[in-house]
Parts: sequence; structure tokens; C-alpha cells
Amino acid sequence: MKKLFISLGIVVLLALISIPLYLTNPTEADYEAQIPTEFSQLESKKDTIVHMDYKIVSSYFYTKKVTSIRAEQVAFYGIAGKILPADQGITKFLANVLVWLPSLLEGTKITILLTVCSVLTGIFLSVFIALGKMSKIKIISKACSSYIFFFRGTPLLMQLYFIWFGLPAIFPALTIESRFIAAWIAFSLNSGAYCAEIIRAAIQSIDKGQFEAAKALGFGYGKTMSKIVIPQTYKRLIPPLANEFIMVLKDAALTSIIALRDLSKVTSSIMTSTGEVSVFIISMGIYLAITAAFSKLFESLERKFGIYE
Amino acid sequence: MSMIRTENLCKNFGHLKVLKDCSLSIEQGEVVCLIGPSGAGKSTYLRSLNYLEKITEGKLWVEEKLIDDRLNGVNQVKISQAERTEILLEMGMVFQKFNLFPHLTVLQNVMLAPVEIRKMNKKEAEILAKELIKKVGLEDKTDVFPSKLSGGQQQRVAIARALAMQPKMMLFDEPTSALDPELVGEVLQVMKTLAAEGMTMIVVTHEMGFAKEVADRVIFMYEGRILEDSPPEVIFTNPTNERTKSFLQTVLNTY
Repeated sequence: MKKLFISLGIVVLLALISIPLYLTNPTEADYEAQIPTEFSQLESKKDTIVHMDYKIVSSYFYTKKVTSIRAEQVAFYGIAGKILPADQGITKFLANVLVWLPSLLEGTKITILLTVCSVLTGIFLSVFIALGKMSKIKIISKACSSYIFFFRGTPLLMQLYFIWFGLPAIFPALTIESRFIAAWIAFSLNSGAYCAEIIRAAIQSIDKGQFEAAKALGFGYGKTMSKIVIPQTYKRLIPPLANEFIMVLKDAALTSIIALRDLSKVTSSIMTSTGEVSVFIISMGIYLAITAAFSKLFESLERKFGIYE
Repeated sequence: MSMIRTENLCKNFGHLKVLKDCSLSIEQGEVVCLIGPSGAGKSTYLRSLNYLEKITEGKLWVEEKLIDDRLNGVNQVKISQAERTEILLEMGMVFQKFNLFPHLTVLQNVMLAPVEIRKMNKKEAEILAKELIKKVGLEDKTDVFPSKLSGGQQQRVAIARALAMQPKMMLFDEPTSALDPELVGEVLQVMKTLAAEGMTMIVVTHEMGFAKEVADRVIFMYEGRILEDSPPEVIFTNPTNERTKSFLQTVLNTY
């Protein structure tokens, strides 16, 4: 409860600060007027004006200061109509954030999409693999065991390599056009193996009496599983599945080897092109934010499924 | 008409012979109590009647229909699984540990099987379920999850759940053994009502008082064999078998 009030308070505070800033909405000319004379003299050298209408920090100027030796980049950024030099420390960092954020968010979108799609597909697959592994039919059980053995026993990186580079070389018919889909397939197959073991453990942790009671009432295997056993595993499944989800979220960074522009790939390319290492801080912050949000979601799911206890 | 008949029923767990040539016939409307020391095979016998345990040898008739004739664990009777399941639906089962479905409310627990297995219309099933819940005296607990109920209440729900399939006979596997002593009465009361309504019942129990009062026949089992099969007035006052005598002496003296 206390936590809720604190976070509510922070939201209200942010709103109070940002609303007036947002309402001022200065024009480009307002900023031009504030440029120190030493720069305005060089107005002809002004390189780019990146005008970004963000809520708090509303605009960003970018100009060139020519020294005798070389051209030097000088950045300004504006808050609510005030212009501040952005060439050092925290101001520079904030200015960079503004420039990088769009592409970082683009990468974040891919990372989240890939993780959610892969884990969902993986869970779907894993139900069948788990039931298959527990099957009394030897062939099915062996096949599912080998599937799990293979995908847990080889590095995800290799599997990704194989699907993107290996498959098209061996079977040209299996060429996958989209990098995203290739990554999705690799991650789904991999997380399917891990989730299968999670689901199997959860099903086997259900009391034998439940199976007996179901059988005595005339339930067959399918209905026993779908109506009685699997619904009881939901609560037990959530914590390990949340774990798996977070693992996949971070493993999504591996897709940079097939040049899928996920968050990690965008981060490292910003780093190599600008030489700014501070981009890692932002990137890690984004990862933490995603993880925190999904952890909350899983927590509430766990509470919801555990209502009967 | 006999509801259940077994002939030379045997059950082995590996080399351990749990049931040895158990032959028994139970008529419609009879209440039969199985007593005996633990490890005597009472529960195994009861569970093999509705296929929770597969028997190794012997014959099993349900409502005069031969459904199992085993020789070395192989069924000689040609009967499809669906057909057998259909026949076994006539037996309701109540377990020692209740085995209620914890993720469903009391009402849902009772309704589930009629809707899913008997394909009963949901509304009808709900009416039936509420009626049965009322019968076991839990109408105020209809929408409660099993974890919020006492053991006795849970066992009464389990009885209602079994009755919801409208079985012709009920099997009770030590229904009161997992209960606190003060909760035993309420469950036995429900069982007495059932017996009075003419339900065919087979009860594995340690409640000698219940056996004495309600049973038509009491069967004493020892080391996998049925040693004595007599009306309660005979078995409790004048048992013929030495083993029965010493067992009853020990049990009755403790009370």
C-alpha cells in the first residue's frame, strides 16, 4: 500500500512539472534568440536543427563551432524555452539521450516483441512436449526427451546460427527471409525445451489423488489434464516461467549476430559510431524497466491463479 | 440382483500378493463394511472394483455383466475402454484424503463431472449440485474453495461430488480415517442417510460403531484373504474365525 502511494506521488509530481513545460511549447525562433553571440555569428555553420517535441525537454539544437584547428560539435538543448549548452556532464548526457532514444526504443520494441512471441510460442510447444515426455508410448516419450536434450544441450547461439546460416545452405527451400522470424523460430524451439521441463515438473507435483478422483468420476486422460490437472499447475508455473521469460529477454541480445536490430544491437552500434559509452547506461536502464514491468505482471498473475489457496 | 461380484480376485504388486482369491457378491441395496488390520488388502480390494488398481487374476462382474476376467494380468473379456468407463460410472468413490479439486469451488467441484462426463446441461447440473450440497448440509458453503473447509466438510463435499454422477453404488475408502475425531460424526451421519435411502454401499472402515449400526454384512479381511463374511450381530458377538476374534478384541477394547 505504502509503495503504491509513493509511486502515485512520483507520477503526480512528474505531471505537475511536465504540464507547464509542455504547455510553453517554444518555437524554433525562441531558441535562436538565446544562442550566445559567439555561436550566432557562426549561424551559417549551423549544421542541423533537430527539433523534437518531447514533453519535458522540448527541443535540441545542434551547431558547429569552428576553432582554428578543427570543427567542433557543440550541442544545445532546450527546456521549456530556455537553452542550455549541452557539451559536458549531465547536460550532454541528457542531450544524447534525446538523440538516441528513438532508435533505442525501436530496438526495445523488437526485443520485447521477440521475447513475448518466443515465450508464448515456446509455452504452447512445451505443453505438448511435456505431455509427450510423460507419455506411456515409448517412441513419443523418447522423441520428446531427445528434443529437450538437444535444445538444452546446445548453445542458443549455435541454434540461431544454424537456422539463419546453416539451414539455407543445406536445404535452400528452408531459407527464411526475415531475420525476425528466424530469431523467433530459434528462440521458440529453445524456450520450448526449457518450458517443457518446467511444465512436466509442475504436472508431476500434482497430488496422485487428483488423478484417482478424476478417474473415479469417469474422466479420461485428456479431460483430466485439461480440466483438473493443468489448471492447478498455473500458480506453480508462474515463478519459473517468469524466470524463463527474463532469461529470453536478455538472450534476445544474441540476435545481434544475425544483425537483427534489437536493443543490444542498437546500443552497440551507437557506441561504435559515436564512441559514447554512456549509451550502455540508458540501455541497461531500459532492460531493467522492462524486467520490472513484466515481474509486476507475473506477480499479479500468480496472485490471480492462487486465489483458491 | 448382485451389483458387484468377484470371483477368485488376485492382485500382486510384483512378488507381493496383496489379494488372494477374494470372492464376494454384493446385492442391491446392501451396505457392506470391510474391516481388518492395516495391510489386509481392504483398500486394494475396493480400489480394484473400480479399476483404480488393475487386478492380476480373477473375475469381476458389475450388475451381472462380466467386465474383467484376468489371467496373468491379461483381460480375457473383450470390452472397449469407453464401454467399461460407462459401466464404472455406476460406482461413486469417496477417498480417505477427499481429493477435492482445489482450484474449483464447492459448487464447481460437484458440477464438473455431470457437465463434462454425463453431458448434462449446465443449469440442470447446478440445480442437482445445489440439491446434493444441501443434502450433505453445506448449502452455506456453495461458493467456497475447498481449502477453506474443515476435513469433515471436505469429505461431505466429496460425497456430494460422487453422488452427482447419480451412481447406483458407492465405494468408501476409509472415509473418516483422515478426520479429527470430532468431525467423524458429521460424515458418518451423511453416510447413514445414504444407507437409509437404499444406496448400495461398500465401506472400508475402522469405525466399528458404524459397521455395527448400519452394515448388513461385515467382512473381515486378513493378509489378502476374506476370512469372515457375516451379519454384524454375528461377527461382533460371536465371530467364528480366531483371527477375527483377536482383531475385534484389540479394536473394540481401545474404544
